[in-house]
Amino acid sequence: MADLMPVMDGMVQTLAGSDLWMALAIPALPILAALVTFFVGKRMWRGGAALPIAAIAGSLGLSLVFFLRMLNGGEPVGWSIAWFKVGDLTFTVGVLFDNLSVWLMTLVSLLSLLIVVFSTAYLADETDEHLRRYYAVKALFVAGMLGSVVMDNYLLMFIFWEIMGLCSYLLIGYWYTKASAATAAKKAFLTTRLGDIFLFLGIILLFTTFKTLSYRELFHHPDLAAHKDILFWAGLCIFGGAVGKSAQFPLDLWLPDAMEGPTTVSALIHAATMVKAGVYLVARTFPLYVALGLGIGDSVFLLIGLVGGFTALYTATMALVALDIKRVLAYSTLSQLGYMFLALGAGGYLFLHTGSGAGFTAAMLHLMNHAFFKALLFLGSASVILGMHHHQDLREMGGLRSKMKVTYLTMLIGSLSIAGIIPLSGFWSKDEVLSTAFHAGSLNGVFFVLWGMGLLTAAMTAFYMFRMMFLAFHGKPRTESAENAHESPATMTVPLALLAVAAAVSGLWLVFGPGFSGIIHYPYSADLGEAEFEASGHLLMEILTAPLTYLSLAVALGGILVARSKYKAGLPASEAEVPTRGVRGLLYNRYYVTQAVYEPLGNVVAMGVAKVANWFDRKGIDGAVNGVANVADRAGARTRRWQDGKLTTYMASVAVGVAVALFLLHEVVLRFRW
Amino acid sequence: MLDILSEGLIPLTILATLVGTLATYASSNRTSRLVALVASLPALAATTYMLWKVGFGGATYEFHASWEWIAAIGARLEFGVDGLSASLAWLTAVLTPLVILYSWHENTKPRLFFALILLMDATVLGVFTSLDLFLFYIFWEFVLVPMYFLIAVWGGPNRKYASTKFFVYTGSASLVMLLGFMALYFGAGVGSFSIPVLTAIGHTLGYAKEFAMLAFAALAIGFLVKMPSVPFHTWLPDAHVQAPTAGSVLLAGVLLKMGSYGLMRIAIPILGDAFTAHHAVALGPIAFWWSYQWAFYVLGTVSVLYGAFLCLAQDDLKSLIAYSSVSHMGMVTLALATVTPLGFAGAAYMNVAHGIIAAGMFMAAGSLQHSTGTRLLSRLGGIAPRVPRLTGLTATLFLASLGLPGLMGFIAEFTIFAGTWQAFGWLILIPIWSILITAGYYLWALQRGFYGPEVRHPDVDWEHMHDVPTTERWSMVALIVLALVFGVLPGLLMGSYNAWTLQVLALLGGA
Repeated sequence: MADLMPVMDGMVQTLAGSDLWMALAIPALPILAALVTFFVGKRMWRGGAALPIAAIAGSLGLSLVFFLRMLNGGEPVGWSIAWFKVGDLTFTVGVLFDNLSVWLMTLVSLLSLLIVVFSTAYLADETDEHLRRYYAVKALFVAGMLGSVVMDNYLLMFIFWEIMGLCSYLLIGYWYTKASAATAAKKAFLTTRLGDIFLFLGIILLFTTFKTLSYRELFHHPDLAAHKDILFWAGLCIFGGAVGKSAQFPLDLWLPDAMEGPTTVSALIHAATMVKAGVYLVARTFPLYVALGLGIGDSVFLLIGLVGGFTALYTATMALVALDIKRVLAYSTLSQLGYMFLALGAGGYLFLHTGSGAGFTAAMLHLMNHAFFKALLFLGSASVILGMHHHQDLREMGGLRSKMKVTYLTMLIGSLSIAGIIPLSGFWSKDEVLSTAFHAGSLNGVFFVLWGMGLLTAAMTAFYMFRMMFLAFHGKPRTESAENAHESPATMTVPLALLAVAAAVSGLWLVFGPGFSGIIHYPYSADLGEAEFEASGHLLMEILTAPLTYLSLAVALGGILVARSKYKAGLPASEAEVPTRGVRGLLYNRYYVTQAVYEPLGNVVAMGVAKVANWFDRKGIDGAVNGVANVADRAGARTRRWQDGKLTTYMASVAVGVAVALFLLHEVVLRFRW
Repeated sequence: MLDILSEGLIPLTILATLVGTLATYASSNRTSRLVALVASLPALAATTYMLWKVGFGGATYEFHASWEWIAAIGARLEFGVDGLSASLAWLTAVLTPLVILYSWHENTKPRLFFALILLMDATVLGVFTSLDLFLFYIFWEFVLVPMYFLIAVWGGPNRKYASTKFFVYTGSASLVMLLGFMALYFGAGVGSFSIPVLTAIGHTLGYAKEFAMLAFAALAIGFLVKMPSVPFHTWLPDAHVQAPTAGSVLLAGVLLKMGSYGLMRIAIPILGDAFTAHHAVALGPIAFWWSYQWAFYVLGTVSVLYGAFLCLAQDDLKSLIAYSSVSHMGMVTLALATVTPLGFAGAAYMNVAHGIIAAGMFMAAGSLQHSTGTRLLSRLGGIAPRVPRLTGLTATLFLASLGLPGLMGFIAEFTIFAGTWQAFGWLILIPIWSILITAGYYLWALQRGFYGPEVRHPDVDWEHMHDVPTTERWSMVALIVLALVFGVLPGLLMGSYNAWTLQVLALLGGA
């Protein structure tokens, strides 16, 4: 297996001088902005929005410096120092700028900047006091995401990962006086924390076994092969953390509820960045899964693929009947994240068996493309919601096309892109994801099934996206708000247009120029000799001549056409009410998993144990304590008569007591010693 | 000539604080708070210097001093600190001025109130710095007095029951502990109460096995009641709920740490063999073995989980925080059970982390009572827009307590669980769920008490509801800053803990 191990080794060049300061400033600038905004933002324009915008722009500029160096063939660089020591273990702090992290931090800072600029208009009605909180937390979030990407070890990654979780909690609960927002925030935090317990445990397993958490040292650790059992459990635990953060089955239920937050929060945290952290984590941990080798490693990859493929289909079905425009997009996000895990699982499986790195690249390409088109779609829905005067039910919309032209056109590009229509970005990555699953299917039939599920998901995706587009923008306005809808200001439409361009062309990176796989691949080092890659031009021909490509295109077009025939005229009477029964009721209520599993677990089991414990504590344990006290009290009442106030009585009792104590002590000492 | 920057520093610090106590009591009601605040500062300066000095990680006690005292029994005035005790002494000295500041507007018998707080400061400092069991015991028992009066005079409606329960329960436990001290003294048979001397004897000659077992049981019961560990914990919620905020802060912040400190300074180092030895037991056909170490795993795990579940069932914020202390101090018991560098360092870190964070949370609960007139979460929903600062401070402290990375509790939690994995393997899967339950009860409490729509319970005075006053706010801010500093720079304390950890583990024959 040695030839499949990453080339990137412990000898990464050390960052120094101004490069080091630039590197550290990337996560540090947003942290500073968060602090300053929190303390003085109230007295500034829009709650201090300008500061986070400037800081994120700074991070973007610095990221671009490293990004350009990487495009020009720059080597990975890193920096690390001791943080603190316990026993023989040294905790370290450090950053690692390899292709994966440089590419991702550039993407994250770019999207954050566009979305935060967009927020200044979207949330213009909020008071400065509230906006101060919004922008401070948003900046902290960006720092958390950038930090978790650039840190060079699992523990520091986890720290920033949790900071992201905190910001997600605070922003989902932004309108905290709404009961539903407070509940959703708590649910999001607790569900992801369930996954985080596994991640926490995985990190502990790695640290205590290999004495280091640094990616560079860990991935080349000489003892990896000797501790495959620990590595296996640690790998599963890390995947568990990814499942929570990226809201995969069975920890998927928090994300649709997270839509209680402002739409700009959904766009940044719950579509473009934080939920991708789980995908990033699994990609980052690839070398450890690979080190497990054939027999163990490929079963882990199979599990990852299964979770991803199942989540993709399972959540896509929920989007088919959703009535809230944001919910459609939320289910869609879950489904697309499932695609990424499917690609990682199938890709890892293929890699272990054949050495092909296509799946890893497909997952990363889809991560980027999805970030663009889903941010675009969420911001588009924000524009719709603002235009509709804060109505977000698709049943209340209709005919917005003529009133919100820019929003309509940009969202159309986003929808075509996610549906996978050539040559928009979604087409390229979705095709690569499905083709990876298909190829892995020739090695293990399960992947054929997953490929079939992926294809079905593609059809559903096209259908529900265009169901949403037709219901919102076509037909006649169904309510007064739709009648009076207006286009949003330029602060919103300009980011939309920029994102639309990105969502249209980002996928082309795969097949033009040096190609995406030349930069982002496994092993993600500068050395291309290890895994097999298709040259971009060759890949283009292969995609265009493969029958599979046309199959997925046909499926996507089919989905669009079905949606058109059903919804072009407006809202069908059968969908005017919230579905409660039958298949539609089942899908609308998310298969009743919340009602059947999570609510009983929380409200009945946990609360039941708590109530029983509380009763036992007061009546049982404390009851016994008070019982002893009462006995002593009564005994005291009896013996009180001995307290006759005579000095001789007291002297006598003291003497007896001391004698007894000394005797006992003497006996004990004699018995047990000498 | 006494060198006040070495051997004289500790006794002079305690003496200065005692003089401050008298000065406060002698001052007028109006000026007593200022006198108390000023009088608490020398101890803060001195302990900060101590903490800085032990940070260089010597293996022995710094500021060591030993004077003849009661020659007949060999009791001496022996003082000294290492990383473990210096950090706890410093914690005590930090919390005292903050508590005085927090209680600035106390108007019921303020002279006595502030004098008692300083008296507690002095006696707790004595507990953490004395190295002679006799001296230690005197300070230990004396701590009960100011706390008893703080609860009995300034407490809530049920203060008489709670203060008596506190005094009798922990006082009885102290007697059991004293029996343990006597056993150590007579068992060693050298006529010395000195902790370093007894530690050396326990390690070299060793006590007879059964004798050591009994002695350890006596010491452990004394200390576990103080921490407190399940099932000896029921005095704590009553004491906390009835105590005034200042009492609760010092109770959770430093008094509970006396229990864990006793285990870490006395019971485990001196009777290390008894702690780790396995004992075979045969009950008819069932044969098994046990050890105190495993008993600590069980006690720790039960305290952690049981305490966390109890928190879920509480409506009074103060009793919730009290049970969360049971849960978090259970982490210390669990950590000690590991007998690993990670676990021991984590136990020491959790002591300080919980001391800072729980102190802050009790302040928040007190401010909630001042602001709204109640601490019952079910009556409070929707107050966040009315008391935004209090909400923010409470939420931050809760997040610190639930182990949010970047704050102090996380470092303690990570090291303790890592040690648990090393010592107990997959048995980590039982206590680790507390991470989820802890997040659950804190976030649910925030949701019930602060967020959501206004509940407007008739008992809550919405007209006069006000946000947290300045002195209370800055006391909490200071604690949050400390939790952040030690969350980001754990090396400030971990460096000096390493020396202690390795020393104790060497005695235990491990690591």
